[in-house]
Amino acid sequence: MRPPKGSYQPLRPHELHVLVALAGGERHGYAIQQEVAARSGGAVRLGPGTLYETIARLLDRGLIREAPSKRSELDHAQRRYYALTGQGRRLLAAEVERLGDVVRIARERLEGSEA
Amino acid sequence: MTDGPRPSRGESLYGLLLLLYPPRFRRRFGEEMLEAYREERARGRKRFYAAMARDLAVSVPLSWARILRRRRHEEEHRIKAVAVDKDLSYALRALRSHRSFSLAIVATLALGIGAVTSVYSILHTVLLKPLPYASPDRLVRLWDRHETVPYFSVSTGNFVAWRGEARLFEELGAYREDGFNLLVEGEPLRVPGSRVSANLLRVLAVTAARGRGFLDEEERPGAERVVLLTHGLWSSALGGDPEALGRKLVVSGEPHTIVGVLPKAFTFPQQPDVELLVPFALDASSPDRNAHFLRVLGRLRPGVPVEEARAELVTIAERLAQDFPESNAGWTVAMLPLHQAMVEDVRGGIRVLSVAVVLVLLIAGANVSNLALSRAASRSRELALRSALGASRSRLVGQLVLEHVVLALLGGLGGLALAWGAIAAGPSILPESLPRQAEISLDLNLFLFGFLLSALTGVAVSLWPALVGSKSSLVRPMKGSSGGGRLRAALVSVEVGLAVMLLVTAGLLLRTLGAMSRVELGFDPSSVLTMKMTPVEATYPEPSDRIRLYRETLARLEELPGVRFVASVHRLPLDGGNSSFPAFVEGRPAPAESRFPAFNYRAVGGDYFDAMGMTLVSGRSFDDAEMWESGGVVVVNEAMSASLWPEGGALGSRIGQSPRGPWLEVAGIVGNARESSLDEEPQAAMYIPYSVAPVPSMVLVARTAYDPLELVGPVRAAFAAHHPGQPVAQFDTLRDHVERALGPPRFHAFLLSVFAALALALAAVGIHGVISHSVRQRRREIGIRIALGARAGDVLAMVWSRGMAPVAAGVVLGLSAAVALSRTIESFLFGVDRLDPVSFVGFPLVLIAVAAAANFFPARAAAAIDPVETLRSE
Repeated sequence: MRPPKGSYQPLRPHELHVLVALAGGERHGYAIQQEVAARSGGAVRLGPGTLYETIARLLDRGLIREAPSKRSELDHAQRRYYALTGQGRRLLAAEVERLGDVVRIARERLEGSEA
Repeated sequence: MTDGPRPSRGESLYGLLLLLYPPRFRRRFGEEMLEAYREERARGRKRFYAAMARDLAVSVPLSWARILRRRRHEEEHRIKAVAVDKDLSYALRALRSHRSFSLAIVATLALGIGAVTSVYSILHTVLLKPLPYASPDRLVRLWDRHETVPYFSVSTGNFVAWRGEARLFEELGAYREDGFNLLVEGEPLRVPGSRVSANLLRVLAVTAARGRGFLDEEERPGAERVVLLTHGLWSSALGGDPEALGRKLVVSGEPHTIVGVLPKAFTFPQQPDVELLVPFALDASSPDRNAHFLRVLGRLRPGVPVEEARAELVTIAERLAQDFPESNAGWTVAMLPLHQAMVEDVRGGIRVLSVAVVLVLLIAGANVSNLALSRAASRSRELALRSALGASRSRLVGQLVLEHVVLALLGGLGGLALAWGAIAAGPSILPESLPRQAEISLDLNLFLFGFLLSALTGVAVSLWPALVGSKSSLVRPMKGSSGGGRLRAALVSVEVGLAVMLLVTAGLLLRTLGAMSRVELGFDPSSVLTMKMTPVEATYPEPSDRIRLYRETLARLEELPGVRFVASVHRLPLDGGNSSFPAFVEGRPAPAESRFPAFNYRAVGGDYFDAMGMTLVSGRSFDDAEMWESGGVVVVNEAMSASLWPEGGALGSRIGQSPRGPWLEVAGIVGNARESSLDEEPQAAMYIPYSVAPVPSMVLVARTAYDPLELVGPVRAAFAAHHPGQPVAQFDTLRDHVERALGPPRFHAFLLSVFAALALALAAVGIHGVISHSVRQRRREIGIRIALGARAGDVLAMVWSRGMAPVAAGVVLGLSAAVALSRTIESFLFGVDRLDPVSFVGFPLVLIAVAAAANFFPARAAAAIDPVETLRSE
């Protein structure tokens, strides 16, 4: 799959983490942070500033959006939920494919050198 | 627990540190960040404060960088979007602040475009649009032709022969105009109609919308009587009743079966008012070869050229001339495409109008360019300043173009409104003789053309000044140079020249109109009521019945109060036609070429000469017995007397229609009257008593002591009382009747005068604009002259004469062009030389006077310049 035209900038690691977290469904900011921490086994811990700056950048690029429906139900009123946009989903898929290629090639070479 | 309403010290500190972030970011995420801080803190993360410090150090600069980048982005977008919007509002502001300039341009364009669009709508409909029949290019009109009369109605004998023998025609049909008396629910009704050959609708390729057309056998004498109605008559007289088909309608006193209704869009060729068709009775076995009264239309077979078809008919005519020398010697055939035949008479007039309207458009164009040039020059400082302040050239050019396009579109809109109004007013302005008037409308193509024209004008007009204006450096305008001054003077010359051409032409046509309306008519059209009465055939079948009816009617009308004289005549003067027959003098050998020329005649009843106000020169009029019973006498006019009896002695001589008599004695001689047309010398004519020529229909004429139209009511009442069922129609005054004959020259003169007045006004605006501009440009020079001792009078004279120079050049140019133009309009002139001094000197003098005035005001302003003030301000 090709990335959407003109909007392709390489994703920073934090951005990739946030997108992956949101690929599983809508989340609010702190839930994203927790999921990222859980998946990386506590290796990646996003501080509040880094987390929300990343969210802001992804919002600017149109890769995620606020999901208005989830606001202020059981949670705190100020918590906002975020979701992938179509563009974000496509970009993530392209990025994952690219990473998959990298992983495959790297694995082949590593196995080859071992043999 | 740190969780609680009171924030911890660390939390308060974090809250303060949030101020490091950009405000927009803080407002949006601040609360959530504090929340995240509290959660992390609650989980008792290791090295919590170090992690928070690292997070701050990384994210604050990133956040600022992002916000700033974004702000720059938005700014660029906003500027682009705002620029067009700004230019438009700037353009509107600039136009509002130069209101008189804007108004002048919009008005100039509106007048130019309006005049062109309306005149070309007329031209397009009348001259170019195909006739509203299928394959109209195959329709032709045919005439009998004699060397003395190039286009003459066709005799029944010739029509029957052509129709029977010609192979290159699909159909040949004939008709003659007629009026019919209808009886609808007991009410008499007079309806214009036509008697047609059964195949006429096939010639036009028209089929009935309801019912059927005529069958071929229905034109034979003695056939069942049938009638076709137009959609209009069917709706108005029968209420559009679908059951009307097959019913009887009383036409001319005889019941006729309604066999069909014509399509709504149908108009009868050449006579759009026809509402009813009846087949004429044609005795094909022994047709009349002497009476010429049919109008013949043909439809050519596909692909047959007009010339070939004409040649075929000429061959037939040659054979007819051999077979029937008595009636057909010297006769051949004339043929024209039907469309050409219809517009032939008006083609020239429309062409003159087209030329005039193009001249108006050229003047308008010159004027707009002139105004735009002047204004660009006076704005060059503003443009130079804005250019120095960094406005790009493309931006300035774009803005000027935008300004002028706005003006042009406004002008175009105004022009279309004017055109629409002019076309709506058309019926009251256009002369009745103009064919196809009902079809005239503002068509969409011309509408778009007008709009496009105005937009293009806007772009074209703005380009020159835009380039001059935006190229200007700061230096040139500050020096006060007047670029384009010579060009503007040339434009003034052109404008003046064109205006002179229009003025001279308008002058010639106005003088023609004047000469025509002052023409000695030979009769007095004031205070005369005219009305048409055609005796109903069924009630008054015999000539003697008609004679009795007219005699009684005239006697009754004479008794009405206020009536001075009443009479009847079979055709009024100036009704566009003539009736004639040959005349032989008793006791003289018949002239060799006996049939033509014939002499005009009028069958009259009552006190015709008194009612018409004609003068009896010698002898006497008819007495009552001669008029209605015995006949035997005739009155001739002076022209006829001079033609047949150049030595005198007309009175008492006897003339007849054939060399064998019967004879009519010349009882009196009357003065000549213009009966055929206003612009022809009166022709020889004779007046014969109705008892001698009891034609089927006459016009009643009543000279009254007061407003003739007040007589209409009493006349109707008298008819209702004494002759119920006998219609009387077409009430008119003789004055209006004569006025209608003046229609075409009046129309030409009216439009040319409007155009000339327009041209004059536009030229005045142009001259004034150029001179006042040049005075503004030369304030400094004039100030210095005054400072050096020039007197106000000298300055005024200098500025004024400099302004008049291009006017003088334009007048000379215009007069020479007008001399050439006058040759092409010579055929429209009457009673005025084509180099008429009044038109060639007087009318241009009006323009010179206007130009002198337009020049005077700026010149006076120049003379009033205060040198100290001017030099100080520089």
